[in-house]
Amino acid sequence: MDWSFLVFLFFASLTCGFALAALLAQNVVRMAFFLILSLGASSGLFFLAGAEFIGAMQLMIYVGGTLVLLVFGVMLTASDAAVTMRSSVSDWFFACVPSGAIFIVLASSALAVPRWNERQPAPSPEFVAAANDQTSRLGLALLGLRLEPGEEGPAAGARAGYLFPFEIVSIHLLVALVGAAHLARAKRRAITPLPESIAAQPAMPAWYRYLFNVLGALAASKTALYLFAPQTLFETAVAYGAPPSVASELTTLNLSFEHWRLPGAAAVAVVALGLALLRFHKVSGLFVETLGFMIVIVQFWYWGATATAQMAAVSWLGLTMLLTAAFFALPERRQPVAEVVV
Amino acid sequence: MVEAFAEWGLPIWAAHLTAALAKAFLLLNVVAVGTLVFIWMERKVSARIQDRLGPTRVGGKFGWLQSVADGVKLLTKEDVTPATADPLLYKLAPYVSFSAAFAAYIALPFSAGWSAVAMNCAAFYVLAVLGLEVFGVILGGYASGSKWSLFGAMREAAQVVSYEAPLALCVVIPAYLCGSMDLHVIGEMQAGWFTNWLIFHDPFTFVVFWVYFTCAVASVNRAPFDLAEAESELVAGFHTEYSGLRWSLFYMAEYGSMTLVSGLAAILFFGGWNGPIPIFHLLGWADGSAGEGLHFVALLFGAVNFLLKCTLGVIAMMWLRWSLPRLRIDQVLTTCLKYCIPIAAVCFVGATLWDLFGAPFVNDLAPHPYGTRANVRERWTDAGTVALRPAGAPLSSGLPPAPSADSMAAASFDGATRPDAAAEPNRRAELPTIRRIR
Repeated sequence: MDWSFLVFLFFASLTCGFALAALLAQNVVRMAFFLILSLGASSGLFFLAGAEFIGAMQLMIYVGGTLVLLVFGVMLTASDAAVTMRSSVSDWFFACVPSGAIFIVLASSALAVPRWNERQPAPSPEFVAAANDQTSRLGLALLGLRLEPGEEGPAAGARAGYLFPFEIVSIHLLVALVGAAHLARAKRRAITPLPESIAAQPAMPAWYRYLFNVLGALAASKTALYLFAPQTLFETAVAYGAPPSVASELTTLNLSFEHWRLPGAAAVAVVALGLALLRFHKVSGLFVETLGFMIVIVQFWYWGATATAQMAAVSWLGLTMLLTAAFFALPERRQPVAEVVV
Repeated sequence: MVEAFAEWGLPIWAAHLTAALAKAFLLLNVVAVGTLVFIWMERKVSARIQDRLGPTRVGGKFGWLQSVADGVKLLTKEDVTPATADPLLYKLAPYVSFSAAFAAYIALPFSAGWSAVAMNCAAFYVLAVLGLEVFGVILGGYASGSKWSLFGAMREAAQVVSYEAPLALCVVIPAYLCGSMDLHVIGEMQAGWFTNWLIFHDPFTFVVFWVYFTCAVASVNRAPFDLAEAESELVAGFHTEYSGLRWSLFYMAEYGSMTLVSGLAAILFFGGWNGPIPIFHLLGWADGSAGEGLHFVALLFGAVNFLLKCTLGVIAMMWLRWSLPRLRIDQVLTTCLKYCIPIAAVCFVGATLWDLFGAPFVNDLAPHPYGTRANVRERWTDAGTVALRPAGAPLSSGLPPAPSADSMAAASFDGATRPDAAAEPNRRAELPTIRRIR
């Protein structure tokens, strides 16, 4: 028996055992605790498989995310009813039917993979060497350049990669973030009268509320396009003159400082103006700031670097998300402390 | 390491087990002994800052055995569980905290190639695991069944969501400049004189280090961000009800993660195991061309360098703790979210532009032994050439072949023969393959 099989059994039994414990526990906080342990043990499975980045992601997103869930969703709302939960027979029935169905689908599709049923020979050293650089290949795939280890011929590097789903997810997150901030803000305004210093600030412009609708429609249409016509989208991108690889784009463009001077200076100036405006009027500041980043993106598009423009759009979204979090989600500094936290 | 054990005649599973146990033992000693030393140091540093002497009796001249006396005292204390506590979670919480702080050490390199596990996303892994330490704090605070503890836990939760974003953003910048999340690579990219350290890469990285340090202090719950314990308001915060060994586990987790974030800062901004003066590079010991023994000496001094930098970081945190008053919770949130995030975001854009335009700064004063950093970083496009290689060509590990010792020495410290990026735009500077102990 392979020694790694024992380690696999160890982590797998931890995962399953804690999952069962989460199911059978009656205290809601203990449930969340066992769930976190189960998710953490499954990250051990990823590490065992050599997928270190996915394992760390599992720790960061699932374990860390459940932690926040535990704190804000469970601990603060846990009353006596939640501390000792008694599930009735009907609860068990209605929980078991859908989850059992999902389990059957998952298990049957997992067992249907033919490679797993027969014993595989050990992978060749070449494959292992190529697979060693997992993380950078994953990163390249997220930026539109997808490579499979040992792939050869004209097909290599011609895959679409995951840039598009990545971008869609970013937009979804942005919409969710802005929406959550908006909801939280409106609620607080309705409950407590604002101090005069804040009430005197200019109100949110009327068009701003349509921003959520526009962003949501954009995300929805992009998702629909990606789901129903991915090939068309990708071919359009290629037809713009760009190979699906950011790397080769940038090398063929061979940009120098001369190319960058005008658009770069314009973008920096506009972004700086936006940052300055943020201090006084947040909405218009953010708007001007996005204009600055748009200059860079349009410039890339003009040069024919479609994938790079998309990448810039993704990073612009990321930055806007952070700024949105920083400037919109937070209450004003002058507001009373008691309202903010605990 | 596994191969060495296997050569002794152990079966492969036993070799793996022995290697894992040996590494775990070494790392556990780093955390535990480090905690003992740092607690003694904390007493001495705080005493000096407050114009006192601190411990002077136990163990002779400087009271250097004081921590052992503390440990014995803690061992003999009664292990109390409050009646209102959730016994299972209450008892497990300290172990959760400690094992998270300990697990992050797995990916931390102590010298070139000296880490328990060589991970190509080590920086990200360390951040992810470090974030789990607060899990024990929150759990302990909740399970204690005490209002003081719950207040501490809630403050900790609010603090977590505020410092994690800027902390991660600060780590992105060195990872971007080096083109890798592998802490080995980030450390090796700063070899040479101290002017090659990333904190001197441009003014933005210089600023972002201080943002990192602020968030790191917040992440390890040290004053002025120690709201979770806040002994002047909350008795002792989340560990009010703990005593004896369980309490000391929380302390070991705190000191362990202090060392960890200092070590991360040392690798990301201060050259890691590379000393300010590259003595072993100048002697030619660092690349292994002068023999295994001398190479080992160079690596050992690298580890000493690294631990010294860690200690300096921890001392700076102690200095902060005994100098600054505690912030209020809203001030903590304001600091992290309203100042640290925008500053880090601006620094990220600034560092990117600085690197894009290749503007000169302190880094350009002394030549880097492995060529210009941008050339090394752009190696990621080579991953394409790996997959696009002609049929039948041998597949290397993705890294370019290690240069010979002569070319290394010629390229390193003559100053005159620095590879010129403008003359050969497609040239890929060669990063020597980092030796790893497996």
